[in-house]
Amino acid sequence: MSYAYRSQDLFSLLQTKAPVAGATLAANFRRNEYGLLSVGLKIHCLDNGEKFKELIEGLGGASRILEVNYFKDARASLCLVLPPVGSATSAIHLIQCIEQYTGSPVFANRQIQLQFCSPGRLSARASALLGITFYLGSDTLRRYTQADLRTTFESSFNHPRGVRLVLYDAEGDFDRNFTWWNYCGAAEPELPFVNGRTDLLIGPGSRLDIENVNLVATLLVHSEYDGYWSGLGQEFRAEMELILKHHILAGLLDVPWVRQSWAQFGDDDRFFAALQELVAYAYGESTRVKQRRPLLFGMWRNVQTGSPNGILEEVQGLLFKYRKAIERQSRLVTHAGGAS
Amino acid sequence: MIRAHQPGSQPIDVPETIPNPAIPRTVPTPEPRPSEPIKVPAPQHLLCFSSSCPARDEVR
Repeated sequence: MSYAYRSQDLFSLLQTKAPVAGATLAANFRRNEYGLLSVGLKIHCLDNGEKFKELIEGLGGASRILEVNYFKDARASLCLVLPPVGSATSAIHLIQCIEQYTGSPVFANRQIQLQFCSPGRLSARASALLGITFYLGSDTLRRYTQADLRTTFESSFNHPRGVRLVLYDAEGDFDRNFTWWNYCGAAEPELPFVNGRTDLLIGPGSRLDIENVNLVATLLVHSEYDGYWSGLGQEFRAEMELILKHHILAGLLDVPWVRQSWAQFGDDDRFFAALQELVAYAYGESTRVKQRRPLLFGMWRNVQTGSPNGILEEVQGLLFKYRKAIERQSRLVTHAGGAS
Repeated sequence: MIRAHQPGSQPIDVPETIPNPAIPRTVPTPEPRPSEPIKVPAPQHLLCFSSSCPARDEVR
């Protein structure tokens, strides 16, 4: 993940138009929260990118900032790689500072596709769980076309990434200087990965998307790399897989959500068919939830039979449960003098 | 918005995005309006220039 400028230069530039938020960000951008993973973001701009012109010029110009990256959404005019930060909160503040600087929304903007980058490569099954939980937990349910997921690395010779929602890195620069809570609860100053990321194309994303993906990526990465949240991560995986099984969607996990080096011909289509199945199920679920009409005296009735709490509510409940568990348990760690 | 339908069936509208109904919508709370200045009538004896007003001595 290459960005040919210093993060402090970006924060200084942002402070010219967002003095308080920019200064706070500059002072705290590496701060860790609850032992969750660091966060990287890429902004793919689908329109002419005019609103980012001043920011890009301030950082050294397009030839220096943008053209070092060959990777972008296939439809995008530019892809701005942001420096990684220590928490989802800092990532949200960074986007808000950029919104203030450019005077244009980044969140929930159909012309902006956000790419969320987490350190550590997940297995195929964990990548599937990441993609599915992101989709069902988002505040917006989206339809996709394959064009939404095409990047300039779709058929790259060295690093083909296919047409997927979840992408691996292309072995570029990697900033390890973020806190990692190891299995014993001690805060190590460096991530245990020399390289390697798992990215998610979240599209026109929201604050909630950033918080959710950071939470789920942390649980999954810790479960596969023996981090402090490994136990919770295993429980999360089991519960999420059970939810999918109850809704007869467990087969979605067997589909290649991320392109591995041993990918087969037709995997892109197999993945996209699975994604469409998930989208159709979620849209149908949305209609069913809307049909729950309030009756007199505040009583609610399920018009349709089936699960009293549909999959959308179940996933919200799951995310809420694990977010609270991490917050609660991390206090014990910090109070005991372990990680901080 | 796209329309997907088979011949003879009602067209189905499939919007590109829909809000997730499992997430409660948060209505932004309106910023509190600055309260109207409260007009307090000035004490009568401050405005009173009558030498016979009994309150005049109290404020001196």
